Amino acid sequence: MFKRAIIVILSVLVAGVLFVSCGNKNALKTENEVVTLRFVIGGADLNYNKLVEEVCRNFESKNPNIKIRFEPVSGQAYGQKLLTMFASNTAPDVFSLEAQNLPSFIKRNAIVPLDSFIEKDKSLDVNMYYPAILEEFTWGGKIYSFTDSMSPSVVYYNKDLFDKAKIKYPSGNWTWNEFLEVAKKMTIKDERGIVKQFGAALYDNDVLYFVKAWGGSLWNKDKSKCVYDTPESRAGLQFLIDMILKYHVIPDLKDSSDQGSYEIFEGGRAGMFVGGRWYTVSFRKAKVNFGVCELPKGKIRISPISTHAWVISSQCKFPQQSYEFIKYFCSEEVVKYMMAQGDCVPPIKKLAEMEFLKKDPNFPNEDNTAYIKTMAYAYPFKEYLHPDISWSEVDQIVWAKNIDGVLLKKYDIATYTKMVQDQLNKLIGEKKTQK
Amino acid sequence: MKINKKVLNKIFIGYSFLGPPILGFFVFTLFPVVASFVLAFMEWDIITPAKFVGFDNFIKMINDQDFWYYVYNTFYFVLAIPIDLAAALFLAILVNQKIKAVGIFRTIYFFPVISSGVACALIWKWIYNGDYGILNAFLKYIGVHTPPNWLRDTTWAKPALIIFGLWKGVGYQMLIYLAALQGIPEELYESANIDGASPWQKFWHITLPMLSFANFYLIITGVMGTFQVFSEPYVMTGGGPMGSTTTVVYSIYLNAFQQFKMGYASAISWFLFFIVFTVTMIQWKYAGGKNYYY
Amino acid sequence: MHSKKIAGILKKTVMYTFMILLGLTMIAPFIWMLSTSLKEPANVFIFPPKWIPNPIVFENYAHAWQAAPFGRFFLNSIFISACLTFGSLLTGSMAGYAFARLEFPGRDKLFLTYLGTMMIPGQVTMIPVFILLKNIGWIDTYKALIIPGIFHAGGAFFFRQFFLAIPKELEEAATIDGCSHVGIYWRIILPLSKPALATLGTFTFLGAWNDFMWPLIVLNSPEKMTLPVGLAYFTGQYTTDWPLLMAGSMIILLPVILLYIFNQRFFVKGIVMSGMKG
Repeated sequence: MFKRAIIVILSVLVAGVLFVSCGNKNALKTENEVVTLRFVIGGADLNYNKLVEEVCRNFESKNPNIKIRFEPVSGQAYGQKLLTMFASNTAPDVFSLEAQNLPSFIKRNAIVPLDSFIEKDKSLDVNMYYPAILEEFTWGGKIYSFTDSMSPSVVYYNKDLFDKAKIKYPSGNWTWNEFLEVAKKMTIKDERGIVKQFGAALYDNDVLYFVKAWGGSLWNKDKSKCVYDTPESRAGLQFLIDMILKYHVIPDLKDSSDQGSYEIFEGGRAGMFVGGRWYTVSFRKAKVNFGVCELPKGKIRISPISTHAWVISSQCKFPQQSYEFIKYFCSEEVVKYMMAQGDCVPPIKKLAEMEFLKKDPNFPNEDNTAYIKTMAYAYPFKEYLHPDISWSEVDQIVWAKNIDGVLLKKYDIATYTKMVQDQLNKLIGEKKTQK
Repeated sequence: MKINKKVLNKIFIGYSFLGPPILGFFVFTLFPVVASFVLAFMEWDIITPAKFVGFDNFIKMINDQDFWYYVYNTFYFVLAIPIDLAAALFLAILVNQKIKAVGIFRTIYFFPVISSGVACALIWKWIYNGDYGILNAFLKYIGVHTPPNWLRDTTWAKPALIIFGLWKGVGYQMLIYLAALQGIPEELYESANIDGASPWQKFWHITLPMLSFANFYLIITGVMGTFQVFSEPYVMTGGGPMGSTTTVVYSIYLNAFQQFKMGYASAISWFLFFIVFTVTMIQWKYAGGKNYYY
Repeated sequence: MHSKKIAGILKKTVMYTFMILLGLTMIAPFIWMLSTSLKEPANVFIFPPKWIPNPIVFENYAHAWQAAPFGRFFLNSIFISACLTFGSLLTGSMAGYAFARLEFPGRDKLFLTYLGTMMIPGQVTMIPVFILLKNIGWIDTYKALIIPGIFHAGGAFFFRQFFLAIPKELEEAATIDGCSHVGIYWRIILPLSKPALATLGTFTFLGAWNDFMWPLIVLNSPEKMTLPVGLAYFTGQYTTDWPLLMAGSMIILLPVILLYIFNQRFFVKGIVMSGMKG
């Protein structure tokens, strides 16, 4: 009897907590009262947080009716915290979201589109942003965010190492084959044949970039199928794999026995580095004498961009004010401020093509032309994302589980691409039946 | 009448000693566990309301080939526990002696436990590096011509992680054994000496039985720990190569917080629970309830 | 006689050598942390690694400390860890005593339930706990970091095992003298359990001190955050500030080392019936 009582009590507790939404839905405040917005960002470091604080205070001084409560979340557990907040109805008003998570949140109506606010807003020119940026944030015809910072991928080269090897600095007007030749010359092996200095290091496991640059694609046009297994894809992947296994000019993409690839570049153990502008802060600290040029051309010339979104949650009670805040954060004024700090490229075309190109007196050796030229053929991460499948599931199949077989020479690329295609198509089928 | 009162009195004392702790236990520890059990029968993406799906999660789990591979990996790591405990006991005996500077040794052996996990992982990544790590340098020196590239080898990645885990955690178990060793009465050894017992006999017939309580604790928590920790090995191998170091818990984390499948993650957790609980029950029947008095 | 002496010295030498070598491997990461904390960023990952930094940058410690309100984080961490440790030792030893010494119906089943709760990974219980805490208004409070933690089953398990190993004779003597269970618990069992209290106390403190995930999830206000959360600010999304991160890690490590050394004094043998030896 005692036992039964316990079971009943526990069940009631569980039911109560899980299914009854004890939300704090107060009455909406009137326009004249002070509104506090909870603003959460994830994974940012101290320097960036200080900048954000400044921006928040500036916004408050321009908007006395709105207070911003800035709650940065450190480390790598942002996703967990964000989801926990949503589950408990304590989601923030405005928060940062990586582009890769946008479809997942949109699908579940966790974030609010900005279109209704943009329509009413006469002072905003949406087209001041680069088209690739707007594309990144547009899903189902609706736009969900702007941004204050972004970066395309470019090639960094260590001028000192190039001088030592007496090789001309790359101009950016090159193909991947030419890149390979330069990388071969920059690769130094010791007497045992072990690489002491790599030709290049890649910041990311972006195998999909190589697929696209050779004319292949992960999905078909309407994303109803995975079309990974094509001769073009395989050619692009083969090139990447050859760089690792055949020519040994870049480190094994998964060899975590070394540190992150940018650290290899900083330690002077790689001649070049493929990545985005946010690494320059670290390069400057490590006093690397670097130059920047565009990514080489595959079959087509493209460059991935990386950016984050500022979104309004569906649990937000003050969407209009939140929109004002986001608009301000992504405005010319703030973008100018952010870009001066050195770790991103402005998403606003006008600024990028004028202010950004002016040399920073503190870093006279840095030339930002490459970033702007690259934007002409930038494409958003959205290309890889499927509206119904979480990025984590795609990433597991394309990268985490299956590419090792190729890197460890257990099977060839054709086997890999077929595997990925089959597994992803199976996933698409499963999601369809779930709907 | 008398018997009833005695029983009631026992219940009263038992539960009032246990009272505050147990109330807190029910609310903060047991309740979430029960909630997770309920979730195992739901489909919940955390953001939208949960949906009841019966046994679907369990069926899906059983049919997932990768899942069984991760179960195999997890069990593989459990085999490390006897090795860990033997090593820890050995160290505990070493630092239980009245030798010079034993306090320093006790402190230093505990350092891996408190050192930054990131720093430890880095050092060992260098040790295990196939080309220039000192492990392979040493192996080549003693005549092993082609040692494996440890962390990038599907056969050797798990043993490599086991050694790393042993090194990192042994200080913790050593300390518990030390505390237990301190509790063995000196008299037992003295009377054994009078009877002319050898060191081995003393160890086997006095030390080991008196450690049975510590053993039970360490084995159970060891099994639980193996089934639950994933962050450090993950830093070293990323779950690879080819998923050979991915454990069930990593899969739980992925499903819960990156793939919006909290219900499925709960189902996996309860399957795990089932296994661990069975193992514990076996341990319990075999040694847990027995009291080794002298 | 002669050979016996040599054998003795040989044995000792081997033992000491082994212990020292082992000690060196165990302390290596700590040395690396120390070395990195004094390096310039450019020197962190040169190869082969240089153990002695050149130049030595002591300012890293000052920079790390000033980068975030670490003073505040330090106080928060001390408060939370100390309360959690004290609370855990209290509830754990009480529950452990009940399981080890008291007899009441359902005791073993209850104990197995305790064990059972330790077998569910935290990832799936995290959200239910959070929702519970939210509904009682404890989110973003210190209470949420302390109270749920002290009711974790591990402490009860640990003490039960430890108490079971204590010979019953001592208590039987006390019961004959008319001592109640509470008295036995307080006056006999606890004093005998110094090594256990020191051990579990150290681990609990260590766990609370280094806990990153739970404070991150439960706290929102930056001024309430704990040291590990503060430390994580040195790892950005793309890059890590290694020298500052290691300097911060060293600062965080210090109290733990001190606590551990302090607790060593409780590891003394001969607690039971040592009166016999006189």
